Amino acid sequence: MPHPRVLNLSAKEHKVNPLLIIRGSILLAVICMLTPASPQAAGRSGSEGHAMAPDFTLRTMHGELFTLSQHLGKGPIVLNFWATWCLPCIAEMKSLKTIHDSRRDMGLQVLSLSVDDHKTAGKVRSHVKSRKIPFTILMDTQKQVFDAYHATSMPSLFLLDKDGRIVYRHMGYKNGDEKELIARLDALKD
Amino acid sequence: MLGVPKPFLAPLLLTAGISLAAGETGRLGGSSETRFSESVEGRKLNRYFENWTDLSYEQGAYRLDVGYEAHLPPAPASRDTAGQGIYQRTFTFRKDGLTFKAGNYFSKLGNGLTLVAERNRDIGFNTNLDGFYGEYGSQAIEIKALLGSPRDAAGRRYPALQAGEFRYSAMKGFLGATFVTTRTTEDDNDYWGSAYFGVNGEHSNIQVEWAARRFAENHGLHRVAEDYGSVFPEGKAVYASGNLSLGKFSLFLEGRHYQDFNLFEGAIYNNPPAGIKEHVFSFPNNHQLVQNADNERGVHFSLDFPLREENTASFDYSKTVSINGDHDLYEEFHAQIDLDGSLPVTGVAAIGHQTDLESRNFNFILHTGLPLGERYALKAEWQHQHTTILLTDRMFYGDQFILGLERSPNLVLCVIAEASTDQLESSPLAYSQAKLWTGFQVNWNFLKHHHLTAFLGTRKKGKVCAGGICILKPAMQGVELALASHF
Repeated sequence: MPHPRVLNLSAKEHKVNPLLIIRGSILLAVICMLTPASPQAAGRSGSEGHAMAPDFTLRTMHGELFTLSQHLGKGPIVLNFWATWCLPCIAEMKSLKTIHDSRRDMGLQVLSLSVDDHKTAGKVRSHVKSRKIPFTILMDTQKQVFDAYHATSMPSLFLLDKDGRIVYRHMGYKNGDEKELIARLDALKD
Repeated sequence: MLGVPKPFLAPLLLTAGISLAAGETGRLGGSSETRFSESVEGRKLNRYFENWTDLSYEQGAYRLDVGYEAHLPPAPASRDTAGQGIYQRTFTFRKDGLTFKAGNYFSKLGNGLTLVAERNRDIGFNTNLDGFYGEYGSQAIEIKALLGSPRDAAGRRYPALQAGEFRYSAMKGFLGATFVTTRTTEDDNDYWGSAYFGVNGEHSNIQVEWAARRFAENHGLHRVAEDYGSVFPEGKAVYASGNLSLGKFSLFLEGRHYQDFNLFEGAIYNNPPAGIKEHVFSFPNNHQLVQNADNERGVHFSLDFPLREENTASFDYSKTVSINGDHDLYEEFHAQIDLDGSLPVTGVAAIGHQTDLESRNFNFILHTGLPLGERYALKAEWQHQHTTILLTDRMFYGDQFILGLERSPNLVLCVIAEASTDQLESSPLAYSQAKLWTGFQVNWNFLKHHHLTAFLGTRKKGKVCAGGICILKPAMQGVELALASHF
């Protein structure tokens, strides 16, 4: 029996409403009209056909505010989404440390966004310290940035050029995956 | 208030109008996740098909998110949260530290003691709020205010919550407060809120949050509280956590005390920290009892320290007892070594012991990876669990073996085998012949934007837990496909 305080919406919520489909179709049509067919006409989308990364503001592991757009223009940026309970994430972090050390001259920044929720976020600090992770750790405890980037699995990695365009993305991690990232970074250098 | 308006067309038309007038174009993005399974259970054929498609359109400071879901029929995990059609429509404006949302949104106040609206598709959990949300954030001040109808497991909406949070940060410290209210009857409200503070030092940090709840006068729990003569007749909760670096050692400690603080009125309003370890592997993660923890107190202690080269050792201990301390609810010891050094073999070795209300478990885990050249790697994993049912002294064990071949960057092939005596009758000290489940799994990245996971074989029934919430997945014999795409 539904709780007496339940709003009387259940009947509508569990049926496919034709009106919603019509509205959805109008929505998609408007969006398609607004989105250019040619990347060159995209303006904000970048002349190379790569989309701009969504801007975000998060707190670091130490509580300071960090806004992505304020750190553009210095060099390429690697965003990697990870969590303390994700085993491939730990392996990827190790490869990123090696890449970060070897490409400091490029101005490479690695931003590690922890998607540990409020239940495991407290453990992030000791996890980072014990593994000597040198990157800026940002706390995405509500997965807002994870969802904004349409990441679908863990770990997820995005490479941004110095202007903030997403030039490469990769889901998951296996031994050897870093080679593609290195090649992309070297292409940006050239 | 019993409801909030559902803005949809208005912000859509507004966004379209602004875009056309500005002569600019925005960015369209999206992702889609599809899950399909067909399996046999005796003579019964089970089949489910689920799809979530999320689209976003971003134009300057504006963003429109639309989410569509279909469950035809729903998977066992989704059965209680199944909805059809557009499950999310959100208009977001974000500029210069100011954020405004209209539609469906997720939120958390403080440490989750007073309000959490979140989702997890693997366990079919979605408690989004429907209404309005506003936030202003700067380095020193953060203010949140929201008005939204919460959602229960069946997708039904409840009267709107009105909530807010204020946080002030200065130097290395911060303090703040949260507040939530909802109408329970025609003339009375439930109120709850919290106050918190914290300090972030270079080598240590600490945060503490106190929360309290006031029930409406005619609320059943209010009468119970009066009968027991509590100092705080309404619910209360305290949560604290901290980190401390002592040379090479990194110490994490958290403690909690939750008393009559299960904020649940059909819809679950909060999800406080469970205070137990979230494991990387499935076997030790199989016995989380805590769901929206209440009337309990406990501690969790974790120590990490580096070994030679890149290797790390960690030790965890947690204990949870009933609020009166008269019986133990959960206790765990866990030790783990992560091998990431210069050895040709990497991996994890772990050992643990867990005791809960129904069973005592011993876990042993070995996970190794051997690189084969530049792009290939061999993976092997063994999980072992020995269980004793406390009430009957019945004992059984389970083992899971995974052997996988990885080829960067696209392909993983795995053979999975699980053996268990769990479902067979056995005398207290005898080990019966194990039953075997086997399967083959492929993970494949293709065409840059797609990821396919395919499983063929049999799988034992068991719990799947995430963030302290567990669901029971039935046994299966058949095929499972999951396709995730993004653009």
